[in-house]
Amino acid sequence: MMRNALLAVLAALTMTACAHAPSLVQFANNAELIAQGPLPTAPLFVRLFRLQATGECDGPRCPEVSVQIAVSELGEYPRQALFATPAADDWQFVEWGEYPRQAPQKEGDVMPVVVALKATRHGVSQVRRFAITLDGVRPIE
Amino acid sequence: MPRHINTLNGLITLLNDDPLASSPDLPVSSVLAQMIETVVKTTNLSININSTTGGVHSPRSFHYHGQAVDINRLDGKRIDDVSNAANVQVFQQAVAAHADVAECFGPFICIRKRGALIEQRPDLRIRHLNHLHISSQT
Repeated sequence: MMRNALLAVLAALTMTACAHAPSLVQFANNAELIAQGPLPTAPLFVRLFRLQATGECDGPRCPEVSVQIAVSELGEYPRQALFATPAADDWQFVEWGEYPRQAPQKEGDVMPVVVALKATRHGVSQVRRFAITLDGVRPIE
Repeated sequence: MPRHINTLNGLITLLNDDPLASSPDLPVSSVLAQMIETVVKTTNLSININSTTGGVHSPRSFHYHGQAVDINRLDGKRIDDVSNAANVQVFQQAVAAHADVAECFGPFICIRKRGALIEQRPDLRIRHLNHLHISSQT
């Protein structure tokens, strides 16, 4: 139990810490909105931005890409957060998903938003699913 | 299914405080309508709703989804009328106790968000001295 909790924390830290936060200038000039959802009235609303580093491709290698993950509650004064995937050769949005657990029991809990993203590194692509909350982004099986 | 709020024989009015602006008597979430009607009946305090889905609010506001109202008058008096403070407090407490409430911003300590009590922040209170902002979870 303790080990699993520790692994989850480490995974979340890896997700948010691997890519350095872009400056607002980089973000405003280069980010491309690739998906937003899952629904405007959902308790958590997520916007996904594909952000490629500036520069030219060198043969098959191009500047790395991350996905900036903006998450917000509904409301007049929503809590909001911004996370990022680690950099890869490419990231693409695949689909929104459903959280594989029952509805939260604790008062005030909000279900995570699940998204599937395709990461490509060294020519190999892999679809990974992530659970997004205001506390962070963590990979799920 | 969105619907109009029942005026309960005049206990609830829907008048914009800007007479040149459009009427707030617009369809809202049935859960919100039911919650407002229940609280008015329970407290027997009349209200005026001066905003539903119109107006300008926070980009992620419940107003845009028909899930929020602003109330500027209670029992015939302005929300910021000091002689009305006890009524305002009673009304906010009744809203905060309702199972479907998402937000209950106003001059008193009654903020409740998605079932969880959250602290009354000074910046929220300052912006809600003259009206109540009430929203429902669905």
